[in-house]
Amino acid sequence: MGVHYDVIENVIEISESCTVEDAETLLQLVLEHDDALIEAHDCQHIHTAAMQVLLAAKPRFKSLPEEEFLRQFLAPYWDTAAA
Amino acid sequence: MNALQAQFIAESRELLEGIGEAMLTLEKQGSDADSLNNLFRLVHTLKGNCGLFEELRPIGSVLHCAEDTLDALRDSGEEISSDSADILLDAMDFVSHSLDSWESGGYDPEAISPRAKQLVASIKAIREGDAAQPANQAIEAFVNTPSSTAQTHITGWIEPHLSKVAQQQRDLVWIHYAPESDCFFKGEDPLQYVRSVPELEYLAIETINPWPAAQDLDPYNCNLTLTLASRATEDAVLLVFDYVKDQIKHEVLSGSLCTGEADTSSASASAAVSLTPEGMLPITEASRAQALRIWEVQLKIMTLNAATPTWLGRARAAVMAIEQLSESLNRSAWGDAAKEALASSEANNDPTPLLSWLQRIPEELATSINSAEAASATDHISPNVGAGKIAVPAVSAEKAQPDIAPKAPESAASSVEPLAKAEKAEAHPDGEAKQVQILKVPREKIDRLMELIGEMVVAKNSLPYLAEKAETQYGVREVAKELKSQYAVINRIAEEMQDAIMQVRMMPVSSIFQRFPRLVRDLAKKLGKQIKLEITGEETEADKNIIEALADPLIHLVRNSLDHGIEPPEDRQEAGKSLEGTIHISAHQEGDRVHIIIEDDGAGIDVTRVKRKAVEKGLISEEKAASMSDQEAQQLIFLPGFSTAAVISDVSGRGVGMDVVRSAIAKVNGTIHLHSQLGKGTKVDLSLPLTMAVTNVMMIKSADQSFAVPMDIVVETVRVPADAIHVVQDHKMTVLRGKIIPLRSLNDMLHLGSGQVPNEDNEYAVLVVKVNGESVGIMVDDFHSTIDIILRPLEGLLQQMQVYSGTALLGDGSVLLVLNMKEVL
Repeated sequence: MGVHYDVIENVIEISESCTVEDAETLLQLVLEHDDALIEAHDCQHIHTAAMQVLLAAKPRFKSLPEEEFLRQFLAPYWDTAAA
Repeated sequence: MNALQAQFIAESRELLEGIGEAMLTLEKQGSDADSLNNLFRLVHTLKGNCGLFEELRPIGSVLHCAEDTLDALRDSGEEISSDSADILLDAMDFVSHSLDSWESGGYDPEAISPRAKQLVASIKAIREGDAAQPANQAIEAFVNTPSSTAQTHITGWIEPHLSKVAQQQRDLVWIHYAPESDCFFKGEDPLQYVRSVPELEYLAIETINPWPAAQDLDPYNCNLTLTLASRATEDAVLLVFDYVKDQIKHEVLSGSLCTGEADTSSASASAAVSLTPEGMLPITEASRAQALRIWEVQLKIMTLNAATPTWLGRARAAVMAIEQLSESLNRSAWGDAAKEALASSEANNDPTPLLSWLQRIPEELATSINSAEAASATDHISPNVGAGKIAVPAVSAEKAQPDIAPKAPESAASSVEPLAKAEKAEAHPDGEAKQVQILKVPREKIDRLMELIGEMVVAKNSLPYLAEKAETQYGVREVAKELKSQYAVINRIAEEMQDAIMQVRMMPVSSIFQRFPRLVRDLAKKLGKQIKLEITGEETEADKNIIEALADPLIHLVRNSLDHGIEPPEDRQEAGKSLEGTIHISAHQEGDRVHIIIEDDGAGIDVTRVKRKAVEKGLISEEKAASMSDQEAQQLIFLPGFSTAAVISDVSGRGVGMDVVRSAIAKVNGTIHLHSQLGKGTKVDLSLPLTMAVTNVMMIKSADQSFAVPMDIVVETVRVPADAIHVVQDHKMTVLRGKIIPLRSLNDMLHLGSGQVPNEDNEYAVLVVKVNGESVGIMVDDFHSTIDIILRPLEGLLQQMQVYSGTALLGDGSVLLVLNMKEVL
C-alpha cells in the first residue's frame, strides 16, 4: 500500500511508491481528511494520476520527498508552505 | 488467462486480420492516404494494446517500428513495394504467432527477441531505403518551423540557464508531451517517462482543463501536458518516449544558438544575455533594437502563465537578464530598479509589481520602434514574438494573462485534439447511438442460451402428451383442448426463439474468405504463378460452427487449386490460356443449405494419371480402374492415402489429402462434389447445412427401442413383403422399381440380438437411405413420425461409440439415440 492515513498524526503518508491504484485511495483520503498534511519524505515516485490528485486537491505538505526528481520538478507545484 | 488478456487476444486477432487486409489493399491499389491511414491506425492500436503487457515488449518493438515506417511512407506518399509489403506481412505473422504462443502459455520473450530484432532491422531498412529522405525532411521542417513547444517556455527558461548551456556548447532537446486522456488505462505513467529522461533540465506541468472540485475529480483522466528540456542527445531523449511517440513534439535547439555567438555586426545577434558589452553611449540603433528585444522577452516571461507556481524563478531570471542588459549598456539604474521591483514582488508573493515595472519600457529603448523593426532584429529564440505585438503591453498581469497565457493550453490542445478527434470519429461516426448497437458476447453465453432454448423446445413437446393423457386417462376434454391451444402459443414462441438464436449464431462466410487474398498472394508468389482471385457471395451466412469447421478444408482446397490446379505461366501460354490463372470462390444459399464453390481454370484432373496412381498405391484393382468412368475416377482423390503431387511442396501434399477434407465436411453433415475437365479446370462444390443446431430426424423402432435417423439421408420408406426379399450369397436384397437394393437389418448391425419383426401383413419396414452415394435399405420394425431435435453429442465413454451421432430428449422425457448411418453400415 503506497498511501495510508495516520490517525494520530493526522497525516496522509505517501510511502515509497505511489502507484496508479493509490491515486484513487489518495483522493479518498484527501477528501475525507481535508485538514490532514501530506507526509512524503520517503516517497520515491508518484504516479501521474496521483500527481493529478495533488494538483487538483492541493493538500498541504508536511514533508517533501528526499528523492531528487520529485523535489526538484514536482514539489514546486505543491503547497509546501508547511514543510 | 485473465479477462484482460482474453480481451486483448481477441482484439489483437481482429486487428491483425484488419492489418493483413489493409496491406493487401494497399499493395493492390497503391497507397492512397485513406487506406494508409487506416493501416497506420490499426498498427498503432495494436502496438498500444501490446504496451499493456510488459512481457510483450519485443512484439511491441516490432509493431512500433512498423508504425514508424508506415508513418514515414504516409508522409512521403510513396507506394509500398511488394518487397516491403512482404516484410511487413512477415512482421505481422510474427506478431500473430507470438500472441498465439502467449495465449497457449508457451511464450518466452527471450526466445523471440532475436527474431524481433531482426524484423525491426528489416522494417527499418524499408524506411531508410526508400523513405528516409522525406521522413528526415519532415523532422527538419518541424524543427525549423519557428513555432510551438519551446516557444512558450523557452523565453521563460532559457536566459537564466544560458550561461550554463553556453559553457557546455550542447544542444537542448525540448519535448512537449500531451498524454492521451486515457493513457493511464494503457499502463502509461507520463511522469515515469519524464523522470527517465536523462539530464532533465526543466519540467513544466500544465493542465488542459481547469481542475474540477476535488470530489468531482477523476484522477484517471489525464488532464496534464508536460513540457521538458534535456541536455542529453536527441536520440536518448526520444528513446524514452518511444511508446508514446505520437503524443510528443520535440525540438532541438543547437548549443551554438544558445551561446550567442551570432555575428553581431549583421544585427542579427541572438537574444542572449552574454552579449559583449559594447559600452557605448548613446545606445546604437542595432544594440537598442537588441536590448528592446531582450526587454520584451523578459516581459513576456513574466506574463506567461503568471499563475503557475514557478513564477518566482522566472521573475528572478528576468531580473537577472535586465541587470546584465543594463550593465552592458551602462544603464545600471535599470538593473537596480528591476531588483527593487523583484523584491517587492517577492515580499507580496505576487508577480504584479515586477510585471508593471517591466511594462514601463525605458524611453531610450522604446523610441523608434518602427525603425527597429525595419532593422529586422531577427531573433532566433522567439521569432514569433514580433516587437509590435508586445510593444503595447497590457496594463496589469491580470489583463495580460488572457492575452498570452492561453497560448500554452492552446498549443497543448492542438496537439491532443487531432488525435482525440480522429479516435472519436472512428468510434462513433453517427454519434453515440451507434456505439451500443453491437455487443461482443462470449460464445459460451450464446451456447448456453441455445441450450436453454433447446430445452424449452423439448419441454414444450411434453404438452401434447399431457393433453392426450388428460383426455384419455382422466377424461377431461376441455382441459385437453385448452392445453392444446396453449401449446400452440408456446410452440410459436419457442420456434421464434429458436429462429432468433440461430440468427445470432449466423456468421457471414466472409470471415473465412478474408484469409484467402493473403493466402493466394503468398502462395502465388512462392510458386511463381500469376493468379487472380475472385470472391463472390461472401455475405452468405451460416452457423458459426459450420463456418469454423469449414475453414481448414477450404484452405486446403484453395491450396490444391493453386498448387495442382493452376499451371505455371509458361504452361498456360502453351495451352493458349491467359497467363493469369483465375480462382473463383463463391458462396450462395440454396434452401436450407449453403453452397461453397471453388473453381479454377487450371489443368484439371488427369484421370489416367489418377487411376494409375491409385492402382500403384494399391487403393483399387487394375480391373476396377479400367471399368471406372472419368467422373468416378476423379473421386479417387478423396481416398485416404492419395496424393498426386510429384513433388511434395510445402504448399500442399503434406500427407493430409482430400480425404481429410471430405471427412471434415462430412462431420458437419456436408457433402463435397468434384467435377473436373482436363485442361479446362476443376470445380469443387461443397454443400453444407445452414445450421447444425436443429436436426430433422425420422424416428424408427427396432427391438422395442426408439432410434432416429437424420432425414437428409432418408430417401424413402417402404414396406417390403417377406417374399420379396431375396438372399444372394448370404446378402439380403430386394428389387425396388427395377433397381436392386441391398438390405441390412438394423438389429443385426447393432447386435440387438433379436430378429426384425414384420407387421401383421408380413411386411418388413425398410428405410431406404443414401450413404456415400449408394442406396441401402435398412430393415427396422416400424417407422414413426419425423421431429426436430437438438442433437447433443455423446459425452464421456459413450463418445467412443461412433454408431451414434448423438442423443436428444423427447417430450415424454425419454432419450432418443440418433444413428450415424455411415458408421452403422
